[in-house]
Amino acid sequence: MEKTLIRLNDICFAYDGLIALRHVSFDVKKGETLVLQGSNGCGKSTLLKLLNGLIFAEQGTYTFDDDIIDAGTMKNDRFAKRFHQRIGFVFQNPDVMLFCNNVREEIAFGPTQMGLDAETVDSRVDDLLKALDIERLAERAPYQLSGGEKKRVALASVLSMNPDVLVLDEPLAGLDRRTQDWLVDFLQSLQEAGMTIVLSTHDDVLAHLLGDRILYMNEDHSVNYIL
Amino acid sequence: MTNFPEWMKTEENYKAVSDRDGFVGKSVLSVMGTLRLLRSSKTSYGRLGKAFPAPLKLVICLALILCCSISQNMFVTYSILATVLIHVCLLNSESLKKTVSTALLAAFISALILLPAVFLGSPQSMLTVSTKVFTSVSLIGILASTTEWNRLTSGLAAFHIPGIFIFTLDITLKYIVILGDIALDMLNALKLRSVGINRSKSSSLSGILVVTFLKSRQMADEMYDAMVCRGYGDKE
Repeated sequence: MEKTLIRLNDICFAYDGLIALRHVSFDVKKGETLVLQGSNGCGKSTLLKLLNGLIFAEQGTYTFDDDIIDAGTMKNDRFAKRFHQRIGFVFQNPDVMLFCNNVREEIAFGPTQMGLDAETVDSRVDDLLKALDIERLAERAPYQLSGGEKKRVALASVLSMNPDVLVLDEPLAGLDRRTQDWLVDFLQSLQEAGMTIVLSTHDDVLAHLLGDRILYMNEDHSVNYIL
Repeated sequence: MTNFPEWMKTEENYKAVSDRDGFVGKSVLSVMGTLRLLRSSKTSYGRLGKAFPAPLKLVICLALILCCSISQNMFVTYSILATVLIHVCLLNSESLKKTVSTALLAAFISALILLPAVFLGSPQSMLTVSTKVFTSVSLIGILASTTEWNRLTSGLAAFHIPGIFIFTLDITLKYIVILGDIALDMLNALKLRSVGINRSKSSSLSGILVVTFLKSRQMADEMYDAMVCRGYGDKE
């Protein structure tokens, strides 16, 4: 039986008194794909932020590979950095993830910080440029790219850190049909390679195609499971 | 199906090291605080704050500041100050702290500027001006704490300020929030990808500034196009 990587127990969260998550509990096993579905404003994005340690629960516990993730543990800089390396987040809007001079630097940003030697970093960048079919974009400035190309670069910049878990917020949003098909195929390949994936989507087809489990969030910010 | 390299199929054996990048976290908190302030629909005084129309509050506030500034009689200034202090006491703790600290800072700076007056034989001027500055800044603080931004800008119409000016002010405030959201997401993305030692922190931050600037320009162009499509002309 695969190990549980993510465990949320009775999580509650509110923005200035406005409830965003209500008694949310679930777990994600290694290699599993969990899909979050629900209407706008039900708390999917908040939940993804919490999974990535950007916000912390007001009630309940979040454990990642048996380590508690809360404001206290994340004050430890080394622990926080290792945690962020292990869980990669692809934002819904790829624009906000791209701030380097060119695509090559963007993908190399994470592995360079990890202290890998220049040759290994270059090799990783080349591997990902090839895997995501963006070799021709290597020297281009990220802000000049199309939406689909930006999404690929954002994905590559996260995968270059070789995370254990990949979290994606609405990965198909704003993409044309061809890029959507490519992305679904790419995510299926990641599944085959054993990547643990958590993603939110409004697309029922994607949810049923990729999800080992689908977690449906109600409008009252609580959760239901569809197995 | 995509074939992945071997390194992606194995678990990363990475030992994280500490870096001096606390500025990212502090920037996130600072942007979040400002956005929360701009978004907040809550005002101090609760219902009482909403009981008076914004134009009336604006008129009273400006009239009191004017009286306080031009008055030669300190009794007037002290009377306004007493009224201001009573109102400050009615604010919630957060607004009270912010109003008083801002007013004290302004009064301190004006006292500092007027310090030479003490040595030139006019110590009273320092006290007078500082008191007036404290009172005026407190009045502005009370107005800002008890009135929502959109009500405040629409209140300007009572002074026959041109609609285009009010509209521009409204749009500016709205876009500060939108751009703030983008900057916040970018800082969060930087934080999530800062998994070790970043040797070019200034480059990362300047990248964020550049993208925010480009985004603001793009949004401004889009908004102009949208306004033209809705019939706004240059002479509006």
